[in-house]
Amino acid sequence: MSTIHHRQARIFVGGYELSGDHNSISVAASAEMLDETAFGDSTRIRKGGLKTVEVIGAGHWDAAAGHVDAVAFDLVGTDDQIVTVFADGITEGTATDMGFSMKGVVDKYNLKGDVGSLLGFDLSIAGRGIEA
Amino acid sequence: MILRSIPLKDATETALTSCGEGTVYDVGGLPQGEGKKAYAVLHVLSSSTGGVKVRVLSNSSSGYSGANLGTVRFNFTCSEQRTAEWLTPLTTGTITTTDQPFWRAIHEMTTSGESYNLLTLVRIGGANG
Repeated sequence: MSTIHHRQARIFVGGYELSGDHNSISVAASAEMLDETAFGDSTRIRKGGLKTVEVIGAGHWDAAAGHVDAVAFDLVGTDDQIVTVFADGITEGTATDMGFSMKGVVDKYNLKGDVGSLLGFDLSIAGRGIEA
Repeated sequence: MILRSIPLKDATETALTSCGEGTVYDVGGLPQGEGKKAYAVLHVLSSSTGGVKVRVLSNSSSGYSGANLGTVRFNFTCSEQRTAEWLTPLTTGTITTTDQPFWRAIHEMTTSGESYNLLTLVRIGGANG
């Protein structure tokens, strides 16, 4: 089994790379679960429904030009942001270490911090569910 | 909807400073069938005084030559600033049997001496969700 020392994630939002602002990233693909259980069944019967995807990131807050605050704050609620995430660096032409690309809408951008800590942020981008 | 995207040209760290043709990669032919499509995505991460134009091409083999640059499958808008673009996918209606598995990205600049960081991605086969 191959494992990855996770330190080379790459995160792109529109015309900006925000990798250096992040220290955490997740790409969550899911499907709604439809319940088709009926009387007489002895187990819950589920059926796959509509699919959704969400990119959730967190890291160190930076207000400089081209960094997370300058980029993400204005994007909240804006449709069709093009987002690409690579989990472990970028290798041209590879089909075994592909990225995740989607059109999304920034649904949350939170500044957060406790006294004495590094000021941080949370960023959440929900997939738009459209392809063009 | 999310794509598992393949990087055709990674100029995120080393900027492009002249027109050129990216490496040819075998990333697969365009399959036929419902839900089978080809997608192209571009992130332009830095700008210059002019513009950069990116195209994605395919061909029948890796034997591209000066006279055989391949067939243009995707044509991005000339970018004069930081931006990203997601082109309309090729669908089964536009995919033909002549679409081929070897792909490359080429880039042109409106003015010599410019510098651009960018990332060109493709997905051949379909999306999830």
